[in-house]
Amino acid sequence: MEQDIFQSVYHQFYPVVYRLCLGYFKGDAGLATDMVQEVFIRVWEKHDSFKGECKVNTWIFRIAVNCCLTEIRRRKNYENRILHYRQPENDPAEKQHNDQEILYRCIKQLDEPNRVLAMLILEDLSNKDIALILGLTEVNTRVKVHRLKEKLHQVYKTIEANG
Amino acid sequence: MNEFKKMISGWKNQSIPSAGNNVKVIVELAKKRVTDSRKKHAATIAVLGITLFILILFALSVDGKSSLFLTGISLMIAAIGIRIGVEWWSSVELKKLNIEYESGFYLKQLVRFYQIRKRIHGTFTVVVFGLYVLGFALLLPLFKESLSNGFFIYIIVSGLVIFAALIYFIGKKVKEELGNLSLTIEELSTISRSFDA
Repeated sequence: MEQDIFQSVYHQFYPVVYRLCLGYFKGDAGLATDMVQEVFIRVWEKHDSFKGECKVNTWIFRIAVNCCLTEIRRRKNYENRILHYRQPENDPAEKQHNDQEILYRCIKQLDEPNRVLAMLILEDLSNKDIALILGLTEVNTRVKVHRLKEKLHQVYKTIEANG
Repeated sequence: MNEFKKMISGWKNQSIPSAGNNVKVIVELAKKRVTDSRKKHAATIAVLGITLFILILFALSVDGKSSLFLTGISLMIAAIGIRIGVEWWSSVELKKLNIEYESGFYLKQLVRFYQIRKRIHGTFTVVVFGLYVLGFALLLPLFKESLSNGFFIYIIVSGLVIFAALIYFIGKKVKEELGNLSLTIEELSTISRSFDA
């Protein structure tokens, strides 16, 4: 991968990788930024081995999810690695801000595997793509996605209703 | 719009900091990491290799080798040899960990790697250190015969101090490392089981 191709990949996938990391770290922008850098370092390191057997976004999502999972080891004080949700800067609208806050409150209630899955669902990926990223069968993925969507839906409604 | 579509829309519309022009920095960091990793690995192997070389040279330079001497020096050489072997094995296992794998499989590989690290930090460290100290202790009668009394006492005292310090620091580090590895393995295994369920 030449540097200019990498640059275009970086700019194209930066927002999705950032969102994935931000969600995984429950809204901690500092940890997410560090992790995004780690993900793209790995993308650069591994670019030679990408043979196009899957889509580029599947490949990048795999690396991003795996980097987040590897982080469990790096952060030895792992109970404290998830800090408090930091509000995104320059929220354009109060309504959007509230929706996002509810969303992050939902995400915070999920355990690690479901949080990983939620990040992929929220990126609107197909079950097939999610299965390819996580290495699950499509049937298993469909069941997991369905269960999680129901769970998120219920949590979202409860939080929205109770404020 | 149902709640779920609202969630996805809210998720995708959240403000994201600018990607900036970090590409050059990332490429430089990636290159530096590869170089640093190689240097670190080479340095460890070099230090252990030099120690092994000195021990072999010492073994060859002694005339009229007693069986006690041969046992002692062999144990020390074996300890360093095992340590080099473990270092090499660990680097081979690390290379097998491929971040591009499907996450479910990657998790299993990661758990396996940490289990190996746990064995290295636990069993291997104790065995290697024990062999080295035992080998050194077996050489002491030879040192007593061939060295002056003052120098022999110096070797005993400095040896005890060094080994005591090593036991304290290595023990502390190993205990901490084993605790962290156990927690990590437990957490990753839980995630892995959840993916498989």
